[in-house]
Amino acid sequence: MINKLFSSVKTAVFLLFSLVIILVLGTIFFQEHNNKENTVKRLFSGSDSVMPVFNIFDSVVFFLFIVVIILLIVSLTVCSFNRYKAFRKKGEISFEEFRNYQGVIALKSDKVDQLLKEEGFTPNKQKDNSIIKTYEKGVSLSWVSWFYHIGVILAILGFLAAGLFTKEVFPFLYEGKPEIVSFETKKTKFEDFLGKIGFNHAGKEDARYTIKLKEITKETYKVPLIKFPDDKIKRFLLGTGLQKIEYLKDNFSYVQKRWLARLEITNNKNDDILDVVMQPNEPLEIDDISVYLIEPSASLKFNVADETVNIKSGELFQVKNFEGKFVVDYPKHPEIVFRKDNTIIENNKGLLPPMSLYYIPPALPQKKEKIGDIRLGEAVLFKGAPVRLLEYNRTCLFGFKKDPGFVFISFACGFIVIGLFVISFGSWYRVQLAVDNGTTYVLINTKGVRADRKRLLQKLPGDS
Amino acid sequence: MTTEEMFSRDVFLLGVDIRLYWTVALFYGACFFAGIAYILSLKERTGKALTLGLKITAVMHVFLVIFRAYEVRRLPLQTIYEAISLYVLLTVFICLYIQKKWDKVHLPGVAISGIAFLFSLYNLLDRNPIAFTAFLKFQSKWFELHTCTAFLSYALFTVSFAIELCYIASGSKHLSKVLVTADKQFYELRHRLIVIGFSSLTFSIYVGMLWAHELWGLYWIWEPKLIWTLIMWITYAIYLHARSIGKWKERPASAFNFLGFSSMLMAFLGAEWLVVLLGTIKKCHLSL
Repeated sequence: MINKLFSSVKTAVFLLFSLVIILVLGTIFFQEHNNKENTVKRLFSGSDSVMPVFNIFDSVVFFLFIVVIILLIVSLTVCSFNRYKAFRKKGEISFEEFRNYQGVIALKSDKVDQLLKEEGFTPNKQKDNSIIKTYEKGVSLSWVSWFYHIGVILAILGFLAAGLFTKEVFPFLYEGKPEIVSFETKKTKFEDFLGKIGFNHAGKEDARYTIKLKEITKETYKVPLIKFPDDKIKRFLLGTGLQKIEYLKDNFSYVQKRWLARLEITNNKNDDILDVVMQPNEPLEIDDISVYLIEPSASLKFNVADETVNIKSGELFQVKNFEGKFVVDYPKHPEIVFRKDNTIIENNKGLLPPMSLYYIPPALPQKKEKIGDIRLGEAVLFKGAPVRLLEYNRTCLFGFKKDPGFVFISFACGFIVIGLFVISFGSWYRVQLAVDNGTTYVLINTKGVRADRKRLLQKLPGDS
Repeated sequence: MTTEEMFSRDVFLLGVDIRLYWTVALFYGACFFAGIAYILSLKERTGKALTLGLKITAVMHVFLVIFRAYEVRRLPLQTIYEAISLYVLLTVFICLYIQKKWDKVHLPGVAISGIAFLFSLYNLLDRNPIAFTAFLKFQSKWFELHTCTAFLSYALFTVSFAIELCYIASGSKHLSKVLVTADKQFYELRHRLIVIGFSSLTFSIYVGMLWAHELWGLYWIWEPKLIWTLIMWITYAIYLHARSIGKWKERPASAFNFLGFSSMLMAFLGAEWLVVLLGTIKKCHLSL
């Protein structure tokens, strides 16, 4: 009964629909385990490649998600196995059964074989004593369908494995200060779980790399600061040409071009030194570790009404005696400035820019109110209290990752993509026929979007 | 060329871009109103005018996209403004391609011209058209492939939705008169377009994962836009499964087609509205 239940397509539809409901609810209702602070911490200190497998009791919706995924894998596995069994099993059918089968057409011609061969059909090996012949053309899409369903199972398992066995660290590297980056004391989620159930895994201390961020460079384009109206009527007038677009001639805007981070990487085992310049979307591979340049930042120390806070730019922080939160934007000042034709027009490297300090009121969390621009050593006033910038260090967020699952996941997803493309653009025909007294009984099966059963029928000789 | 001259040129090109886009949008609007007239009058001449109007507007739109590419010196795929424009163009192209074979079936054109008009208006009235130069994280072959295949899949789903509307309209006494030449093969296109669109969407998600992995070492983030993309993928997977169940081939599958189209709108544009509607990031999944 369980086999019948899980091999039913209706069960698969029901499970998929449940998954949709759960996901929709998850985007509407607050998920305890997945609030922004936790997620930021997890992104910067742990794998978010897949849902945290061992935090299944964090929220009802999340728990249901895990249950449905497990049932879906079971359903997919049972379906794929049954499909494979059906494909392998080639049952015998008598001529009478075949003739009376739904969909069989009787044609007053015995030349169907010849036509099929002319159309590119190839005959299958005929069983002894069987008068039913089978011709096929195209890629057998039964295999393709099996192929991508297996791909889905492998992809889900691959993500699970990646989540369990990935090691990653997300350190902030400070300009000019060497840091030791090591994975050996870092536990995977699987090792963490083993620890929770009593199998302690002692990591060995083996710091392999000393990494020094020598320099971060930000390159920007200088572009016109265009006053584009929000008002819809003004936009319409711009569209008709009755108004012109204006830009401020004495003011400019700066758009990011790229970031460059120069690293000196020392292998502590053999003292090899690697000097490398990194940029986003070009990860660096060192042995089995992938290094990613995520984002430049600034490490700041503020004194707010006699309380000292250490924060990173872009990070929300709270201060005693004030409701609401504060945030400092990463300085947008131009370092090395280019025109659109890539000629350098300014070089401001080494200058410490002003930082923009914002306040986020508790009642209106979507709104940021600018308190002011603040330079190192200077202060701005907020509700009568001075906010002073004491320290400013340039830093950059990196990701160091050992991911054993990447190749496996890529292959599994590749299966799915290839399978679906073959289904989309492929076509498969199977024609079974049996001849009796000058009449040919024909059964045509097709699969694939491009398969044209009607065209084939029109070509077959004889009246039906 | 001095910097000042360069800026003047950029602003001038932006002005031309906007005026051209407004022209295209108004032409789509005219096509849509021609479509309404066609529905009311059921005259073949009006239907032909609608299709001809769409063809002319599509040509103008191609010129607009090429102009935009010249203006920004890259493929126009990076901002939402450019994305919506490309999506509309692909949708119109697919509709016109289908109408080559079924040249007397003008009804899908009414839906498509309406969608094109609405999206173009939304783009012009609400979105920022300012052309940014390509930031490094978008300068990846994976990113460009990801966006192209995503918009292609959205366009295919939209045209399938338009044909689904025709299928429903065929049940109406008034509109069935103009759907006489729409045969079974025409309605089968609903399914075929979704099969191809689903493959394209899967490929887009796959390539998006490769891009994210190259950039951050992550495959996936549970943020609203990506979750709604997953919801869309699953909804269309349900549609494809439903089509393989005898009794569910027609109405239930049609219902999933509608749901799929709605989830596509949510994934494309609605996810960010949801965050704003719910008031705060805390009330939904993280939004980066």
